[in-house]
Parts: sequence; structure tokens; C-alpha cells
Amino acid sequence: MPQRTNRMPIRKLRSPGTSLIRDTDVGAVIGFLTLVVVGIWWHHGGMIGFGNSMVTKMTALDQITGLLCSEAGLLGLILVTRTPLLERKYGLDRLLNWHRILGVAMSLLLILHIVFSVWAWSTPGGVFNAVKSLTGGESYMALTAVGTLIVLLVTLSSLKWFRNQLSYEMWYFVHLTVYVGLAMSFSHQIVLGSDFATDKLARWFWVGIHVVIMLWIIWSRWGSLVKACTRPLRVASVTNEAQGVTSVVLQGSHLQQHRAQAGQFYLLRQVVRGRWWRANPFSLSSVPTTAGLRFTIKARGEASEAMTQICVGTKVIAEGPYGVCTPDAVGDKKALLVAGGVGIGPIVSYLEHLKPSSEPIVLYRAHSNKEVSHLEEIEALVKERNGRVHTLIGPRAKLKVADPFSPNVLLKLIPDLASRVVMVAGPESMVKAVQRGSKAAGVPSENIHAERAWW
Amino acid sequence: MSQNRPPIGRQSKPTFARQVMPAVALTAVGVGFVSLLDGSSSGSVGLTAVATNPVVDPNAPTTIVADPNATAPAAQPTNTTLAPTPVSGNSAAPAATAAPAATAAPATAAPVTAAPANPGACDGDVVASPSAQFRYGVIQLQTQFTTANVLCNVTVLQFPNDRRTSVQINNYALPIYNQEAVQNHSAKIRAISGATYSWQAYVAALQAVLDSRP
Repeated sequence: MPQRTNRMPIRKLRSPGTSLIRDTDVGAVIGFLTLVVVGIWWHHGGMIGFGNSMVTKMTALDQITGLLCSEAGLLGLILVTRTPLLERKYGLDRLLNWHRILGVAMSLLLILHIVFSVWAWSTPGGVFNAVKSLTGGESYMALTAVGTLIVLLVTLSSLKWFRNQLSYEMWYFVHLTVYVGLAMSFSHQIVLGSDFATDKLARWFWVGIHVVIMLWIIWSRWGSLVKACTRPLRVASVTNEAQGVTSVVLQGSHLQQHRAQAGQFYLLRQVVRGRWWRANPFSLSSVPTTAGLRFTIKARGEASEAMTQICVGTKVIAEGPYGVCTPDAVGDKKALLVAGGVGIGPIVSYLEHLKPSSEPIVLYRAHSNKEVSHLEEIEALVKERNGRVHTLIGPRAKLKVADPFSPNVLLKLIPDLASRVVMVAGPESMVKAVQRGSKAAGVPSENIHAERAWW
Repeated sequence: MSQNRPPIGRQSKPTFARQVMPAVALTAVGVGFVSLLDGSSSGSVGLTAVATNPVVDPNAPTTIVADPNATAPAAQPTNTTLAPTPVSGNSAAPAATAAPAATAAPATAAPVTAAPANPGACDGDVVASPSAQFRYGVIQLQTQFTTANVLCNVTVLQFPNDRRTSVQINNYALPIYNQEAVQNHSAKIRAISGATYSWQAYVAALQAVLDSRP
């Protein structure tokens, strides 16, 4: 439990609140951008080109692919602002996943744009001349060609296979250069792009939307980072919970102003030489209060290992909170909480929040007794809420049943499973198994909530 | 990862209006914006009237756009320098410039069936455009209109031919622009990749002629 060193009365942090955004709003904004982009092209005669020669066809295609490529890029940039409007609705991991999808879409459109451009330009003077014009012959095209290369390289470095070959720091700094790449490519749209070069209104719209999104990134992304840096937290206590599992409590004088809720996670960076620039996600393992934020960390990788060895008093920059998998999902229903390994952290924080009417059942899966942590805490919390705890400990081969999360096993253990809300935290394979099993056992999919166990 | 997640704090079920309004509003804004766009704009191309100023200083591109009043019958007959130059008109005396065409046009004398025998035939005024000065040289067009004042033919009088690339580009691009102009009866022409500058000049020259027509 967090140490009570604060003289202020301890109270729960305020909830981050509800996002005002609805799915339909997101659809409307994407639709609006697409409408305007295609409209600009159409209004300037985009479709006329299809009636004529190969050159005009290729020109029309090269213009529309270029415009849509930019649109995908802009939407991808909106996602990395991590704006609370979207984050509180969809969760950071989803936003980043969509960012990845948009990045790939942008690059595919970019490749098409290049193919169509070279095709269209090569009609009078051959492919060689076209490439020459497009890489420096025309004004700003040298800049654009370099920018395009950067954007393509960044996308390539984020594909799974390449990403695994690179160290995090390498990938991270390569990824940052995308801003430079996009800025370099922007010039040719304004100078050469026939949709913007001559139409003042379209040009101002295009410049305006880029400026707005850029300011949004600076304000929302960089601004929150600056805020977190100016108000660092300090490590108040480090407790060894089990083999390789450590609880770290962070405190700070500005905690009263934080808004956070059980089940959320923070991006933490230790202010230590060689580590300060690197943020890693960690889940809260108790309800966040003004007395401190508790994180339960398992040494799994280099970064989490460093976190378990952190010294009391170290400054930590905490960005967040992020995540939307919170106890609010349970509402007035009964709950089944499934934890795998260090996924127990967020489950403990959910438990603290649940009402007695939820009669929580906790399934705790771990590979060995040495890994088990917070068990007494959970048992006490569950008892207060008329629930029960089941532990499934041991390597998979030694378990009594082959698949502990098959619908039959789950239903035998929990006869009223179908009426419960299922919340899962743990390794991805276990999360998938629980999702499959409980769905087959009759839990509606809107009542199954999961989050990747962050470290 | 999950497919379904609750929002933080529960959102109440949105009303139908709340779901539909943003889409309707943004669509309206988008359509309004697109319809405000300029279909063809002369951009930074300088236009120069041909009659008095055939030699153009490339360092100081002028932006004299043809003055539509100059072709009106009321204007001084001598002041044709800034206007697109009528080359010939087979239905009227050349000195009277646009006057006969204006009276014969269906716009002023609405359902005159007795006027020209075939208003669709391409046998009306022939008008030369101002020269459009751009980065690589000058483009000048010759246009012809039907007696109903519809653009029906465009030929290129001048285009940059001092560089081999210019010749190459313009040889393939300008016929396409000619064809599109005639098809659309307007300066609403799509640029061809690799011939954007020529396109700007072409559109500027053509628009100047069209602006000068009654």
C-alpha cells in the first residue's frame, strides 16, 4: 500500500472524464476530409482526364493518389497527437494501431503516386527524362524526392520484420525524421500540384489544415510531455512482491491535479543518464490516490528490468494516464476478472473499484508460485465483495485440463458466466484464449474487455 | 487487444440528431467549400496584348488581363490593344469588332430562329488571345466561336520552342489542351503532369479571350 506521507487527506484522483466524441463524429471528419480532397480534384476537372489519352489518365490518377496519400498522412498525424478526445474514447494502443495502418496505407498510395507520375511525365521524353525531372529537374522536386525517400524508409522501418531487427532507439529516431520528410514533400504540392498552385482558396485550405494539425501536435503531444517534465514524480518506495516482480510507488506534489483511474497506464521515463529519453508503459496496480501511484512491474525486458531496480528518490517523468479499460465497464453487473502473470496489477486496481454487488470472481494464472504477487491483497478485496479467487499455477503441461479457458471448463467453474462482464489482463495469447472461451460460453462480445498487460 | 471497450465514464446513448448532425454539417461545409473553388485560374501567368507589345520582357511579366469592355461596341474603336485581337469575322465587317456577333447572339435576341442558318457550325468570330508569358516562354492561342458565341476551335499560334524539352512537352500537351477546351467550351482544362506551366499559361490566355466575349 502507498505510504501515507502526505499531510493532505488521501483521496482518489479524479476520473479523466468522458470523451465527447462519438464514432459518428470520427466518421464525419474522415468523410469531410475525403469529400474536400476529392472535391478539389473533381472541381478542377479530375474526371475529365479519364476521357482522354493515357497521359491525362495517368495525370488524373497521379493527382488523386497524391491527394489521398496526404490525407492518410494527415489522419495518421492526428492520431499521434494522442488527443484526449480520441484517447479517452478508443485507448492509446488502438490509436497507435490505426496510426500504423494509416502509415502503411499512405506509403502504398505514395508508391502509386510515384508510379503514375513517372508514367505521365515519361510520355514526351522517356522514363529517364521523367525521373530526372521528378528528382530535381523541376523546382522543389529534389527536396520532395528526398522527403519521399525518408517517408518510405520510416514506413519500412516500422514493418514488423524490420522493426524487430532494429533497436528501439534506432527505430525511434528514424521515426522522428518523418516530420522532416513530410515537410520536404509538402513544398511540391503547393508549387507544382495543379490543384493548389493556381487555386488560392484550395491552397489556403491545404496550408491551413497542415498548420492546424502541426499546432495540434505541438500543443497536445509535445505540450503534455513538457508538462510532465516540469512536474516529475519521485520514487517513494520499492517493494519486492515476488521473484522478478516489484511494486514501485511514485509520489509528487502535483498529484492532486492528476486525473487517473484504476486500470489505466502511464508512460514512465526514469530521469537517469542514458534512460531519460525512453518512455515505457506501466499499468497502475492500485487505485490512484493523492498518496501515490503504484505500479507492479515484472522484469521481462531490459527496460522493465531497469524499472524494477530503480532507487527510491529517483525522478520519474510520467506521461498519461492512458487506456480505457477501466472498472466503469462493469457497471451494475457481476464481474469475472482474469489475470495472467503480471496482469494481476490492473486487476487489483479494478477490484478496489468494484461494488459488493459485483461478486467478483478472479482467475489468476501464473507459471509458478514464485511469480504470484498481491495474492493476500486480492483475497481480502474479494472477500469484502462476496467473491472468490481461483488460482491456476504451473506450466501449461502440468495443468489438470488442457485448455483452462475452454468454455466447458469456464462454465463448470462459473455457472453464471454469461451474465458477467469479463475483464482480462495478461499476455496476448492468454487474452485471446479467454476472449474465445468466454464468447463460446455465451458472454456477449460487448461484455468482454481486455488490455495488453503493459510489462 | 479487444474488439470492445467501454469509454471512460459511460457515454449515454446518443440521440439520432447527435449522431447525424456532425455529418450533415460537415458535408454542407465541404460541399460549400468545393463549390467556391476556382475551376480555372490564371495564377502567376502574365498576359500581354499582342497587337502593341509582341516582345515581352521576361523579367517583368505584366499582369494585364484583357479588358472585357474593350470589345463592347460602345468602346472606342481604336482602343483594341488590350483586347484579344479579332483576326477575322466572316459574318461582319472586321472594323465593327464584336458588334454584329453581339446582336446575333441568342442571349440578347432570345429565340431568333431566322438569324444564322446553323448556330452550331464553327464559322463565327476568330479571336487571337493575348500572349501568356510564363517561365519557359510565351503561349498564344487563336480561338474561334460559333455564331451562338460558343468556343468551337482553338489552335496554338505561339509556344516556346527554344528548348528541345519545351518542344517535346508542348507537342504532346497542347493538342490535348486544345481538345479539352473545345470539348468543354471553356477554360476548364485539366493539367497534364509535366506540362503544368504550359497549362497555366494556356488557361490564362484562353480565359482572357473568354472573359472578353459578351
